[in-house]
Amino acid sequence: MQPVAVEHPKLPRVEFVASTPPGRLWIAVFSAVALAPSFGYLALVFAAAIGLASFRKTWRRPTVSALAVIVCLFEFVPRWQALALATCWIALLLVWTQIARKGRTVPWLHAISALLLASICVSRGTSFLGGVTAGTLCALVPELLWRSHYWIKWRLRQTGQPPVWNNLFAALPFFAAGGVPFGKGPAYLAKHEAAGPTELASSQIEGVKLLLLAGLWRVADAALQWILWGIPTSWLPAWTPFHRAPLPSMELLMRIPASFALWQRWAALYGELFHAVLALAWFGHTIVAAFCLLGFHIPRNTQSPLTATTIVDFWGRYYFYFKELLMDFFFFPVFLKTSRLAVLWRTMLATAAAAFLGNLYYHAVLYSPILAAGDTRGFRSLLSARIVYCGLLAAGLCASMARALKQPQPRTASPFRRAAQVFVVATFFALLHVWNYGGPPIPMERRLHLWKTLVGVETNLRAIQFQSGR
Amino acid sequence: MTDRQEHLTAFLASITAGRNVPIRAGGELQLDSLALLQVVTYLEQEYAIRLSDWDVEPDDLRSVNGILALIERCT
Repeated sequence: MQPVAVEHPKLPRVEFVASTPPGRLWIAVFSAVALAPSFGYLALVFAAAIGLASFRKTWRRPTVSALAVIVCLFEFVPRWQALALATCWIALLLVWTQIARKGRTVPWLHAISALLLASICVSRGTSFLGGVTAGTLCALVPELLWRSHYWIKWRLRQTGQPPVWNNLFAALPFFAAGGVPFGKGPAYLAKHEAAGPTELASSQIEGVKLLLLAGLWRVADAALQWILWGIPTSWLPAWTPFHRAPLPSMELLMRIPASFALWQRWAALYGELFHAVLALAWFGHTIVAAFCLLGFHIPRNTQSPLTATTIVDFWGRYYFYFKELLMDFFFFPVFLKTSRLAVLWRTMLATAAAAFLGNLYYHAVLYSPILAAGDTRGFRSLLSARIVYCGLLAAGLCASMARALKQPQPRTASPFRRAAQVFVVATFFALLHVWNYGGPPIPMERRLHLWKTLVGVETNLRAIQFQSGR
Repeated sequence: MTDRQEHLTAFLASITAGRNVPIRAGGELQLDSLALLQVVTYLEQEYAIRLSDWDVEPDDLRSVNGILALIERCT
């Protein structure tokens, strides 16, 4: 075991400066500037909360909860229905977790969410619920659902009556990320909360680093999109010359893959993967940085996935909090419940439950706003592509897990072998991304057709269009 | 260090050998899914604990102290 201390970086002088009043003021001002591109005027509220949370530990949680309420009000007030839904949901959650002690509380939560989504979709288009409002309400459900799941699990383990206001921020969707709760729930946040001034300084330094890194990845992502696909960006100076994009966009690649050379198809595919990684990295770093600045030193969401040498490793490094969600609610319970089976079979079952069933369920809930908006074709297209995606991902993860179980101690690989492993893993996820791509509705045949053209098999696209009636 | 703790530390060292496993304050390990499975099977085999009968979360198994507390609770 090679321990690497991450809680106490070797920068005592920086920590010392960060823990002084001018240091804290500088951090708050820096946060306001750095968070502005993501949160707009709310960055000022964030900065004020960071300042208050740093001042005294007992102020931290009430301040963060107040911040969460302000952010939610700011986001929901224009749509009173969303505000009403969020308020009722949170009120019911609090009352429910006060009353319920043990038992099957979590399945009820999911059953109620499904019922709620169904009733929103059914009453869409009525005078009470317009299509856009129905979509907004449906988009709110996953944000509340997974946070509530963590909240219930935490609350049922408490013996006393923990102060609700001090933990309320963990249940509120104030960092909307498609329902994935960064920082998981109250239990996880408590474990990562800075206990003293040194830990707070260390956490805030990590927050500053992450904001800088997020800015860097954001610029890199914009530059990548401009260079590869000619997408104009406000991040690059206006005088940058116009240039002809060398690679097709994913949408174009799906529609007319045969119009591009084989190298262009592959390069566009790898480019899409890089773009996806960069976009998730700067987005995740911004949210994790905000938590770190507020005094919760939670792990990074994206940690160099493009250096991963196995599929499992990539999966853990790409979107940590989504992986944790699937791990906590699907993988782990299934693994524990199948103790009579051999370890290999347990692992395969648990991996399939998480990567296929859990992943599919999460996305079905996530896509519900599309259904609520009346776009049945778009919903079907995304869900069918997701079924293939989840199936392929589960197969890849199962194979990778089985390999790791057979050889638990990783062998020292030569740089060449390591590079080859990285390339294989990146290729797997680049190919998988074809089924992950959202955008306008794309039929399954087109995605499959793109796969075929990547190995040089040219099929008659017109025939496909004719057969599928499009 | 007790025998149990020593045995557990040796086991954790064996499953994380060759990997860069960060240890946070309080001895928290950033164990990946595979290592977590190995911890579960270790507890089931060494201490005959059926973890499904207990209220266990993955985060309970991510620190030496957490695992020791779990063994204490379940045996």
